[in-house]
Amino acid sequence: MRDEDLRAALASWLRPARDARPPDISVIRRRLRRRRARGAAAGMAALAVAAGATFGIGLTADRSSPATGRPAGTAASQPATPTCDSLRVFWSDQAADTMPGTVYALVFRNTAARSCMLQGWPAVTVRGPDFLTRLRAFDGSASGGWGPIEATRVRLRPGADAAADVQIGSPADAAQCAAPAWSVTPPGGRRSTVLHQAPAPTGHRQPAGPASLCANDSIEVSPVYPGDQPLTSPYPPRPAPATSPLYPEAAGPEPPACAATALRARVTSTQTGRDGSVVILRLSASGPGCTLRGGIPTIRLHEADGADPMGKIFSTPQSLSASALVAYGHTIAAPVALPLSERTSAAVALLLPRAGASACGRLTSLTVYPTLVGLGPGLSIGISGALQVCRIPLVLGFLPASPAGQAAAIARQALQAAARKGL
Amino acid sequence: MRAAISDCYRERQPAPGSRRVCSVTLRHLGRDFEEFYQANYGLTVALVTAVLGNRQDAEDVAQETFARALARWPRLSSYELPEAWVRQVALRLAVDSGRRLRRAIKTALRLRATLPAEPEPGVSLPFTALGPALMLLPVREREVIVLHYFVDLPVERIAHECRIPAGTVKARLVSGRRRLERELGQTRERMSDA
Repeated sequence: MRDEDLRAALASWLRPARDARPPDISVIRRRLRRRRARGAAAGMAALAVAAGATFGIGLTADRSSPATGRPAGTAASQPATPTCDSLRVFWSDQAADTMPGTVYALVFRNTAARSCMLQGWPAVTVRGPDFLTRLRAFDGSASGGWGPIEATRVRLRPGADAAADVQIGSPADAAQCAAPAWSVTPPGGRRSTVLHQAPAPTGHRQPAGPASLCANDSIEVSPVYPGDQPLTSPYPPRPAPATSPLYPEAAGPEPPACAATALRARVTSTQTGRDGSVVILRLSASGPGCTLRGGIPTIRLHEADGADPMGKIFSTPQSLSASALVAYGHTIAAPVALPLSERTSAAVALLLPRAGASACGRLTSLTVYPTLVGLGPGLSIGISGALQVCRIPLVLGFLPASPAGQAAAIARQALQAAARKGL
Repeated sequence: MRAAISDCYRERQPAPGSRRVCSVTLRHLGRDFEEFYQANYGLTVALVTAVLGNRQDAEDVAQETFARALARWPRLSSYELPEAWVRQVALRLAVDSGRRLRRAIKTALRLRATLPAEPEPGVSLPFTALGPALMLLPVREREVIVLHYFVDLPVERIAHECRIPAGTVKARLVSGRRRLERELGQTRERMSDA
């Protein structure tokens, strides 16, 4: 028997098998799910045996189902409430730049005529031209810039919104970026909605949803929470803990947080030097007293060519020591507050580094948000003169507005420090 | 290029008060699982059919193999030859199933009893006899015969994938060929008698 004969015979015999049409990929996925379910059941049984416990409700009561995050024990222990089967899913226009990354909000709007309940994590699949990643609810710790969000039951009246945060952290050397399609299935739902990122039209200041994802981006998805709660804050709201040891506790009750509409802002000075430009703004309350919370404002810049970069947080030892903030027993997410009144004001320093940059845009206006995240309405401030945005703009924490010139001096030092760091 | 099943599938028991979010790292993969599956499914079924002699069992083994590959795809896709991993797992699953192997031998004996059969035009060997003859080889010899003569792997590659010395591969090839010759010779005799 020659080798060729054996090869030909094997090929002929196995041709029908080789030409077999593969079953749909969903068959393989189902099989994998079954394998995992079997593995999980075996693991739980082993755990119960090892603990000498009865395998039953007690063990599984707090366990969330992988797809919905709904506690397994809720079906029997809680009254039957209609689940949300008629939801419109879309990206909120809101986004917030935080230290760990940018936070976007997925909105789930109840379009039915009756109230319904949502609880748990949405099932999110991110599909790009060269990747597909599924995000499911799981329990674990994560680094993030906002407080914990618990998987609570959210009651949605007709037309009401629930939201889930999607935080995207990008490494400094982002590469291989692509515009993905997000497939979102509400908690407990079966129908998924595909959200494409449409290209931002000219003049569109903030496209809804993340524009792109890059290799090694990290994604965190929170459970749903009521849509009227602010982005990037703990949910449910936590009682105030003990005062921060870093700052003296303010006397008296804490005034409400400053809304942008309750503030006035103006440019007090602009200075341009070799390393770039410094813009000093002054914020003051237009009505009764309020507090600036979070310690750092958010500034979005608007350039003549339509670009809207966000200022990045920056600090120097001088700027940190100059921040005269007081504590009202805030949490780590918002540790300090600065009381403002008609008589007191705060300075905000915006740095526009220029060292080594070749392409610059002309700054036309600013939107200042008095909080750590750029949400809701902001204070629009027009900029006259020829200020250039060449590199990433930097924002310092709130500074005392007096004595005059102190904030500008700190900002100039910070600009020099940024230039030394190559920012 | 698609399909990275993330570590998010690993669910953990929640710690009371723990923050509950999902965190993954996107990995841009060089290969697409679905494409890989489409391209390699048939070959895997054929390979296992050659070992088990049974198409249904082979499809079952192939699907199980690809389910395992899907679970490990983020890592697997970075391999130079993920199909080699699939081959190894498929063969191990086939060989580890005593039930399937016993069925394979029964099938072989039954088929041999029903020979002769019409050979395919242009193929000098009575290929319909090949399956039953192959099933009667020891399974390790069957594996290397199929990997060498059907998948066209060189001896060194088979040695690497099966984690055996190249000399053992050669020895199994020689003895497997010899047994095949004997079995097929008997078949020829029966066909000529008929």
